[in-house]
Amino acid sequence: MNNRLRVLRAERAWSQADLGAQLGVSRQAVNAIETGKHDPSLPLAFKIARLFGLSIETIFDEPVA
Amino acid sequence: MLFYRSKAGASNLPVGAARALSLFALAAYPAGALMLDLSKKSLPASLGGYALILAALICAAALVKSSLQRIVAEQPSKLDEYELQLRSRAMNLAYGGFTALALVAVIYAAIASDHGGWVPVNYDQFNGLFWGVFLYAVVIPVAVLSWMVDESFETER
Repeated sequence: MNNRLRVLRAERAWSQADLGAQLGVSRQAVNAIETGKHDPSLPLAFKIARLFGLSIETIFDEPVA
Repeated sequence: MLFYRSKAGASNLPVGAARALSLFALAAYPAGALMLDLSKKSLPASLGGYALILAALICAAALVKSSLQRIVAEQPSKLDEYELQLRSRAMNLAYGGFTALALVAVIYAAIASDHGGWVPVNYDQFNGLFWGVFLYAVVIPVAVLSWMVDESFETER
């Protein structure tokens, strides 16, 4: 799944560890979501959306085939 | 059976090092045990066997404190969803690998005992086999996991 997490994080000058701490997940989990290796669960996606003040669809979108 | 020292905190062992250490431990222990068993009281061969076994144990000990070992051995409630997913995939593959090895060993023992091949018969040989199985049970999951992640697992990019 494509996402804008890396861009949004960079805009706030947060490290992956900073973001992970705010979301209650490991830095590795943030890295895996940013690189598309892991699709977050719905609760985690809501947490991310709430943290950035955006909707889930603004942050995540399905890859175009 | 897996071990992880939860209170000590996980070390950031590079993924490449974890791969090398786990493969070395998996190869060195049986090589050392065989060398020791076949040495027939030859001192250099015995020393070589002990050295390989010791090296395998040192490699396994280095892995036990790593963040990769934390994922396969920590209490599930202390892992996040990504770590739980990695753990599940690693354990599935490790279980398959371990049972395949056990099956091959049993088939080998059945054939070898009928045709005069090497099979463990005395206490020392069974003791070596027991600790080898123990080592494999600990190291195989972390070895599998080390090949499932890349270098970005330990360092931010």
